[in-house]
Amino acid sequence: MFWRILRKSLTTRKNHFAVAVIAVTMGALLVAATCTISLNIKDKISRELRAYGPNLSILPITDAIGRENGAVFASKGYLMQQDANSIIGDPDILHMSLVLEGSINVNNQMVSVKGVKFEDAKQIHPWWKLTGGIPENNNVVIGQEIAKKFNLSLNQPIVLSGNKTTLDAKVAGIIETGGDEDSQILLDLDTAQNLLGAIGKVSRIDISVLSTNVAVENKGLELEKKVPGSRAKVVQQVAHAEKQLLGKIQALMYFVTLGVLVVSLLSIAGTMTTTVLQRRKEIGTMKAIGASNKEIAKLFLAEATVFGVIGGLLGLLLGYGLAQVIGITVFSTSVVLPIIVVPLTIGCACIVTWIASSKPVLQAVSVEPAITLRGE
Amino acid sequence: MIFRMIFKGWRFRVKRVALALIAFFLGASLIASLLGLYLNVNDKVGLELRSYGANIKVQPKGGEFIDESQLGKLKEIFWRHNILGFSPYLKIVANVNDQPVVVIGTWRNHEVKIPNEAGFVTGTESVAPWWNIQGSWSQEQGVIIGSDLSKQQGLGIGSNVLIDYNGNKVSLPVTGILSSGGAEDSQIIAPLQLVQNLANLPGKVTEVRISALTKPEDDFARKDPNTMSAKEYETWYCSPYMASIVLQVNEVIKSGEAKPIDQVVKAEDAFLSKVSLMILLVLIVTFIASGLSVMTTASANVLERRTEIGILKGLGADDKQIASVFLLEFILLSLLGGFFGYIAGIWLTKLLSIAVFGSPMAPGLIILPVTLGISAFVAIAGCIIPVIQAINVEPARVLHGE
Repeated sequence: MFWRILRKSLTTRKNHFAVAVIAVTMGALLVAATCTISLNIKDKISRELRAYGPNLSILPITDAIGRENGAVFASKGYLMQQDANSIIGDPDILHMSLVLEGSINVNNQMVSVKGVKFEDAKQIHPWWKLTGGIPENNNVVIGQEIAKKFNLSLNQPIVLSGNKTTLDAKVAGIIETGGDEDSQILLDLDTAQNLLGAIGKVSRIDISVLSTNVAVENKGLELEKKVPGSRAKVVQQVAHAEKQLLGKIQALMYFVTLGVLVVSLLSIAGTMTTTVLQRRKEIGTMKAIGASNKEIAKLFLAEATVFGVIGGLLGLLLGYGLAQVIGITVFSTSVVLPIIVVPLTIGCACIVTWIASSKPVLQAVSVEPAITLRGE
Repeated sequence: MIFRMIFKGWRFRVKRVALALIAFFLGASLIASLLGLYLNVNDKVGLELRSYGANIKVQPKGGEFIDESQLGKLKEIFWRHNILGFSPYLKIVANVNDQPVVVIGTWRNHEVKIPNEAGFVTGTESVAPWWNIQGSWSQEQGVIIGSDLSKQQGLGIGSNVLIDYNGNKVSLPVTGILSSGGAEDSQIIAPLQLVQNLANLPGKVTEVRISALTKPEDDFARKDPNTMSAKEYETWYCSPYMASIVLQVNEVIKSGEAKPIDQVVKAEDAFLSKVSLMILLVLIVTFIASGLSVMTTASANVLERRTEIGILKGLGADDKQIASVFLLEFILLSLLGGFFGYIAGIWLTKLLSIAVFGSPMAPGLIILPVTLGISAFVAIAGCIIPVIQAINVEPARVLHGE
């Protein structure tokens, strides 16, 4: 009997049903979409901020004095490349680049060289501007200052003399970075190791740590232990700004979500109240033919639950879909649905529809049927 | 007549009118606050991104040095308020304990004199805010020393460091240890004037770094200024694009050549456009969803009044009159709700901005008309379908309750 009344009540007044479900769906959609985005935002933003370059470097413990103006003052220490390989595949490391630095002789002048794997280096320093191409067959890329100093252009020959070996190479590219590289010569890592007599050695590992799940400092301490004879150094310029920015963007999204949550729940409540208000006559009729207050309340709450569940589920699906669209459009990666969003959305939808429909019902049951039916 | 009908009606249906008004108010406040956020987010996040430090580098043009005296003019260019800070550097290689060490002269917080205006305090604190200094660096006669160098040479706070540059010697107390993760970790940082005296280069610097607030590059910014018409050039010159600020810096620092620091500029442009795109998409989703939900409230409100429509018809009102009563009533409600929603939305955005960014947002004038327009549009869209439905039904049937 109860179920029949419920079914009839929902199916005969299609307009009423549509209005209620649309209102709940839209509210739930906003809740689901904004919650999904704000719970994904930290990961997305920290990936985007990796465009500022590496935030951690791993150096040999003995290498106390760094580089300056392209000239290496006292680069004593090395790390072993095979030790460095042991940290490949760490889930918190987005990109890493092995670097070997040293000096060689070009036209009887000392020039600083840097051996890197070009694919890795370009990924970790996305602002590098390379004219020409990535070198093959022992060819080199020269910094723009070097090109000016030695008056070199693309495809011209250049002779690099190390302590024991000499390399006849061609200029495959000219690079502009705004950093040390402008006055350096860049070679493939293997070529550089041969030329500098440092087979299997690197002088630094540049790392882009994804700070979603771990603080950069702590990751540094962890990696230090994995690579023997190394120490980790946080690149403060990048890491410091990132930490501040992450917190702010996250706070911004949380506030937006909170605002959207409050407003959309209130507007679900508003619509539900409107639709229930208009049914006072119906309540009067039910009372007149002998329905108890409890039965009436049960019917209305059951209806509210139907709206809450259907609208909540639809809103969840649509909202997640929209969050996905936003994630892909803005950040070119998909968002994951945090499990908490599922109960949150449906729960909010149900609770709000219950509260919204209980108040007019309570009012209505306390009214005399005769008065309600007359329309007062 | 029509207004009398509407206002009389409101007096008898206070609760329902209030509900519709609240729906418009809530929808409008959400739209207004997100719109305010969208219009301001570039400025606010742009300012936050300046914690990555300098984005323009000036290096000597032709000669070896830049004149320090030209720096004050940076605060006289058209976009002077967008120059958030700058700091000169003089780099020399000196002997410290028989070892070559780079010594850099610069400012921490230095007051630059500007003609006809109050001085401008700037230095590495604004262009290199990430410098992590243990101890302090306030003394005119003290230096800070890079953390690696301090370990290697066994120098700590309080010890004296003897700097020898081509026979000119000076002994200075170490007042702080600097760790930055960059080249500074193996350098000595000293007050600019002191290094200038030591190197006998008064008033000379080798590099200037500037932190400027810029507008992300768009298609217009990528045009070559030389091919622009006079009017386009004026617009370009008067927009805070990186290229136009660099041009203006070059106009005042004659001895140097300014260049954007690509690492910072490129990442910043990409980041800003992504964040504002994200807010825009959230705004669009919110607009559609809350628009639909306000629309349903309006529909529910009209649906309930079908008997009223029947009576009006029975009394001889034609369809046009009925439709105009309802439309007008809802447009009035939407404008009223929209206006208060606008006020609440602006206030919310202000709160949010103070909480997150520490400064209020500028309320854009465009927000009010847009919010009111959207409100009215939603009101019309929401009541038009049920009104048409009700009009098309026979009065007798509507009154009958079918």
